[in-house]
Amino acid sequence: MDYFIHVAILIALYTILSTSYNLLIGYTGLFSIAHAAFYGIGAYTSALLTLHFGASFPLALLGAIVVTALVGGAIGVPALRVRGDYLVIASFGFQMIVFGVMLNWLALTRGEGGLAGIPRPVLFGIKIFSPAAYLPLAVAVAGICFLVTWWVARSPFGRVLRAIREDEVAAQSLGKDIVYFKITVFALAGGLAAVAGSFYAHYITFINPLSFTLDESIFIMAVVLVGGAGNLWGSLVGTVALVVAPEALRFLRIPDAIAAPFRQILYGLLLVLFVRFRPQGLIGEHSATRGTPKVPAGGDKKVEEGGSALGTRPPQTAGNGKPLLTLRNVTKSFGGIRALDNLSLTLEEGRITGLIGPNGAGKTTAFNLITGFLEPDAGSIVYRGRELRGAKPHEISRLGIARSFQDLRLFPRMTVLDNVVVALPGQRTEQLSLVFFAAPRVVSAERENLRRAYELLAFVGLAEKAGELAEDLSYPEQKLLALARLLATQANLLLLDEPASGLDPTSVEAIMALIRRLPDYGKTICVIEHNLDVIKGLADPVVFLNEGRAIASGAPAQIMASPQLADIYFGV
Amino acid sequence: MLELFAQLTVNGLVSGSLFALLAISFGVILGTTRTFHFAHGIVYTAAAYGAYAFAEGLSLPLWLAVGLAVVVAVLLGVGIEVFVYQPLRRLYASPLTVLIASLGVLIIVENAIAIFFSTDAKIVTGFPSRLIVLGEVAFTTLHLAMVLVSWSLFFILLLYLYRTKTGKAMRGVATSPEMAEIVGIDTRRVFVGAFAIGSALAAPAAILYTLDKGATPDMGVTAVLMAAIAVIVGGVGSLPGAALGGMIIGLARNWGIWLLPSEWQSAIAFGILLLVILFRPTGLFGVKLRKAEV
Repeated sequence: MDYFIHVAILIALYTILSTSYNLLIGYTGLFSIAHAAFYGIGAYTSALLTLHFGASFPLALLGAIVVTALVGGAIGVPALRVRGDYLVIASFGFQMIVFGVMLNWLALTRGEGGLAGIPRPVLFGIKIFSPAAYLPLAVAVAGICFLVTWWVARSPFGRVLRAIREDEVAAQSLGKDIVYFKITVFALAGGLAAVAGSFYAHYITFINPLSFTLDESIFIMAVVLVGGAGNLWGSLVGTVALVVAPEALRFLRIPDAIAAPFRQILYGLLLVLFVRFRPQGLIGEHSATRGTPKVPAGGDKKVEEGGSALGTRPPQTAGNGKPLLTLRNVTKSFGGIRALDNLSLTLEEGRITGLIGPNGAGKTTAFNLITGFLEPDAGSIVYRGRELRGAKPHEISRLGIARSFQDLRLFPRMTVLDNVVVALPGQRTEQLSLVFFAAPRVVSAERENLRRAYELLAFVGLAEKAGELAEDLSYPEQKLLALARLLATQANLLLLDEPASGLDPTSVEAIMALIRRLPDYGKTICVIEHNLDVIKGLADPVVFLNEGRAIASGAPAQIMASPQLADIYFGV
Repeated sequence: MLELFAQLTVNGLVSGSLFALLAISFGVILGTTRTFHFAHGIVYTAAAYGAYAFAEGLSLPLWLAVGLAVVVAVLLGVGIEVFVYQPLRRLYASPLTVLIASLGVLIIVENAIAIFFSTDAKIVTGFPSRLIVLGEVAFTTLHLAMVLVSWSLFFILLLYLYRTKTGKAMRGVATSPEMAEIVGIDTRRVFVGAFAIGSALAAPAAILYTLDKGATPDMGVTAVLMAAIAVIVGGVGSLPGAALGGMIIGLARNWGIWLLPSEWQSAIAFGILLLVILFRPTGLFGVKLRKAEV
């Protein structure tokens, strides 16, 4: 009987480990192989606090959470770099170092001999002694941790995590400070792993480094991937399956000496077979959530198409000739190639400015410079009297400049609705602290945001598709979704990179009609387009770029009438 | 004091040479195929155990055992590419997915070796190792062999890549797989070639290490970690960079003995990696990437 209780307690603790690891790898796409290190730091901190400082169990638990969360946040720093490979190696190294320190820092950890005599927890004056008494405690704690993780995962904070996983650059362009999100999620996952570590230490009453090896990290990874990354219920299923299955090996009479490597082979096989044949895991991310989402509360009153969600700026600013954004003598080289050569350009408030020119003229580079994805070598970029040089993409986005991408960069494995909601600005509820401590505010803000997202989807005509995954939309629909997401940023200056490319004539008409209405809502627009009919139908003025310079600007008819420009454009 | 420093420097240059060999073996695969080949660690281990099995188990002469161990490594490396990575690439699996599969393969083979050979260190004998004393420093003929073999192979690899047609094709694929396809290079065959070469280079590194310190099933995990760090430090895509990264790690680890308590020993290479990631994320010889590929 005690044996079954023991297995049940292990399941509870591993549920905490796998769900918190899922936040990293499944939700945020951060590939860390160091979860056992967090688990171990939590266990050792908690054990040492009670053994050396006589701390009570709750205090030791708290200490373990704080210490591990801090370490987790620090590990998040290399994760800020663009390349995911670095994080793998950094976390791998971190796992090895933590293990090495546990093993060799004898004065503190007593090495392989481990720490013995860790006191059983005392809660509310009751000493929890037997496994049978420990089980309800472990289950309750696992339940609380599961709820915390679940609440975070479905909060606006969790939505941004998924956006980062899907496309980091796009998330930045929507004003998300990915540094904050990555460090926070690492700290959170570390803190949760520490809960499991602390409860493990005080349950077994003895710990040594061998419980927190690389193999243990890989086990946790196997649990999450087998269960289904990005789905917390999957982690629960995976935990039960992978904790119970090896126990069954006991009945196969495998000699003890090879039982451990045998188990490892099993986990390795599961990893290889699952990524090959069932990459989504037993329960995939969207197996439960697929389908039309609930129309937001208050949705019985008809969702006004566009409506307030498009922005509140009165239309009288339109076409007043005031410059909104000015580029002065901007230069940018890549290696020896001058992509932009002393480019000067002014975008007037409330107008649709067209940017045309042959391939390689520097059009998209100009967008990248304005939005802070690239830094100019020289020149100035001024928006509403503010110099933009040196500002980060998410800061520029928050000033009210948003851009779309030629290759759309939607968040493919998120719903159409989530693609739009995540772009709405000023979601203070994306702060993790508010997710926890101001739950009612989160819920009401969320309701309002869903309503606004529906309005925007209605504006572009995608309201019926709200519940589908972005990757399942047709190409024209994806283009419309990209526009809706862009509008959701509430930016005043919209930079559209080939909004009509690759579309059939009917879809081109539809998207042009939408863009044409935007200045009425106070939007200023700059559009790159190769289709000259689109430019003619939308833009005034038109700026002609060639070899990184603006060589002409004026009314579209005037620009296109110039035989000289036509020669350049068509490469005659 | 100075004598200790000189000796540690020599030790660092010796182990750095082995790290350099390991790093170029990993780097040629990563650079050409963009596959983060974690299981390279187990190819390394398999070569060591291959040499042990042929030399000690079957009592073959050492040179023959080494040759056969290289064959084992190449077969395993190419087998992983053909049977694990290629099917995943056909499914357009993300790099993350390929990495997970790679880790899975590493665990499977490592534990199979642990079951088959048990986990105690396996010694391979037969190398005529003699002590050489030069003034204040001492090293062995084996250490000398480590340096000579590593750098000879490094230059042979460079010659191959820059002077032969297949080598140039490999560099072409490394620079731009799409363009290489357009000019008629069969990228799949080049990938297999890169795995064969990388695996073949890992074998001597593993065997030289085993002649010195013996083989254990977990030797490959540390090895691939060091190789990856060396490649990142040197700059992904640059083989001289990878070799330099290996030398830096070898020297730093040995000088570290002087300065740091033993429990932080494993942290040295990691510390270098962290510095590079924070201050020069493209690595020492890496091309400056655009900040974001937008």
